[in-house]
Amino acid sequence: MSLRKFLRVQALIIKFWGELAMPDYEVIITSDRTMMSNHHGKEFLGFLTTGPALFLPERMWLWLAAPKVRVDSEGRPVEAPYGLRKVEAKLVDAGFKAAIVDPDYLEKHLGSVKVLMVGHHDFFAYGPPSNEWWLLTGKEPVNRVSFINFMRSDAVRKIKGKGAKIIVGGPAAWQWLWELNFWEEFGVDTVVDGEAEKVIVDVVEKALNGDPLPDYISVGPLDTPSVEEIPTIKGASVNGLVEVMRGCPRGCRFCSVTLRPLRHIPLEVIEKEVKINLMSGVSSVLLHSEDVLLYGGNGVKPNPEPLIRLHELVRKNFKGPIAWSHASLASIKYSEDNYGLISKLMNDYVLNDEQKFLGVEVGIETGSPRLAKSVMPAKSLPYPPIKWPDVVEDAFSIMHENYVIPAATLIVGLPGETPDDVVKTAELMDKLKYYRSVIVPMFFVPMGNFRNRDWFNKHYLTSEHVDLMLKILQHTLYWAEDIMNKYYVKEPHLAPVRLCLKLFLQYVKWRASKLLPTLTATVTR
Amino acid sequence: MGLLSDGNTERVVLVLSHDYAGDDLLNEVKKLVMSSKARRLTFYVISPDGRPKYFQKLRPMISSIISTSFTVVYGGSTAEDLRRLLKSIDGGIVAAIIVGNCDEFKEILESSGINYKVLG
Repeated sequence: MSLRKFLRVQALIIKFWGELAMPDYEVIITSDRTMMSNHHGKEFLGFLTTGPALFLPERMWLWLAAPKVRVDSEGRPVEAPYGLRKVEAKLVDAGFKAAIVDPDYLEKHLGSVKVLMVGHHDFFAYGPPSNEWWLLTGKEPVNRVSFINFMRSDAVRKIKGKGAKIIVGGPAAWQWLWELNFWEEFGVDTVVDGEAEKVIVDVVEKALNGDPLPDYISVGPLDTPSVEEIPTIKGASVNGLVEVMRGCPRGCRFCSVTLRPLRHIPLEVIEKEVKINLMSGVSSVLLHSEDVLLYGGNGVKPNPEPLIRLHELVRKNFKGPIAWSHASLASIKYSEDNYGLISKLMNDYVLNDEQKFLGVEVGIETGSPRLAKSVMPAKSLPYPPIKWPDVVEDAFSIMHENYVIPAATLIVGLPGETPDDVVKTAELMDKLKYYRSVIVPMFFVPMGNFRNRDWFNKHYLTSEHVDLMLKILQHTLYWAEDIMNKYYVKEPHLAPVRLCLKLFLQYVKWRASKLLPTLTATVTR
Repeated sequence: MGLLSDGNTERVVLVLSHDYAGDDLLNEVKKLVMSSKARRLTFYVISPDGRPKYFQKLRPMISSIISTSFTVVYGGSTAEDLRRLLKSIDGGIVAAIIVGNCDEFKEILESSGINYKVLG
């Protein structure tokens, strides 16, 4: 036998045994690259996936926003989106051969896969802020482009071609109702909307048995899982995200999460998941809830004891960076004013040699007490809606003093909004300019109007709106530069990311300066 | 027992004509949801639009149901499909709603002893 033939035979033998050793996952859970990424370990950078590639080529933008994650020999990612981890855990606990697999490695499992489950938090970029970047720029956001390309990939086509069922779900499941052509093109069998823990085992069992599947499943509030029915993740989540609570008691009209019952995750479960992340090499802990400060709380009033225990527990296991996904401004003010809780948590638990600030998302939404009372009367609780602008300003001051850096949202164009509401919001922006923060406006866009620039111009280019946008832009550009210089993306190995971000900021400043004369003329008209 | 296997589900058959448009179905389903004692609803849909295009007509209805779990199952487009669907449904049908001009389907529902409502 020649050497060449010998080596070829050896390669075939190794491939044979390798494939033999590959676990035969019948259920593969995955998503596209914009989701299957840890965003360089910086959760906030993930927001770049909600925009189109600006100033940079798309491939570079995607690298900046959503680089690939490390995977094992089976293509399983070391870190995966938390929602997918919950689905994986539920199926594994039920005895299915299920695993999350990176989108680049699906073909490794072509022989075994019978059900492909695809999750996403914004399949077609109809959620905020994707929809507004789309409207403003006229270009499709990269998360939409990436997802569509993924579903059209050879791997997914082959999986469908061999008769596997495709089940999709996640917070953005409703978006499939608006993209029926893609639903048909991709051969999706079932769309699952809502918290899936109590339905997903049934659906997968039916799919594996070849039973008919419903086209659409919507899980209502009464069928949300209890705390005992929520499984513990089996593998690490992106950037160490760990759920501490589900649901929210505030009842804001623009939010669907509030429809679901409030559930507090026990500390021992949280600790278990933190440890799973740390053992996988994840170097951050991201405590997740719609309002972290309501963990263990009494309705809308924070309770210091459970929060102190929560942070004690995290710090017992980990000295690195902690973040909160969301907190409400009312909770921040209440907990500091009544218990000194924000300063206690930051000084006694969060800030150390490895951590100089804590990042969190907060919702301002509006500076108008009238509009606040109309669309979000409980957002300011326990303070009355008339006090909402003061609550916002006080909370921002507390955060600034305690090195909590918020990314804040405003909702512009809410139904019932008047020019005076917009003016009040702009006045609030003037008061907030002293506080370190990034503020991002979200445009309320009714379905069907994302591609309609005329609709946008008619509804959002009033002088009041332009004035508000200018203030937001000036605020965010100023503080983004300060945050970048002093706090964010400072690790040496992230120097290229930092450079790209700085260049992007400079580009935005330059573009804004070009538009400023036109925008100022609109305001003074 | 899983959510899809649980017995506490009411079954509704929807027969949608091709030319249906409007809010009649939305209003009727809202009334049904409010009066329903069941924890869940299953909608079986007969529509000439095919799957998944039939969801275009169901979007307002789906968006409006926020208090109850529900599933949507496509049953086909022809009278024969409806006949087969009715035989396959395990359990009682609490309501059948015909939307638009669908005479042949009325006969099938009548012969199966199922009361129906006609909208539009």
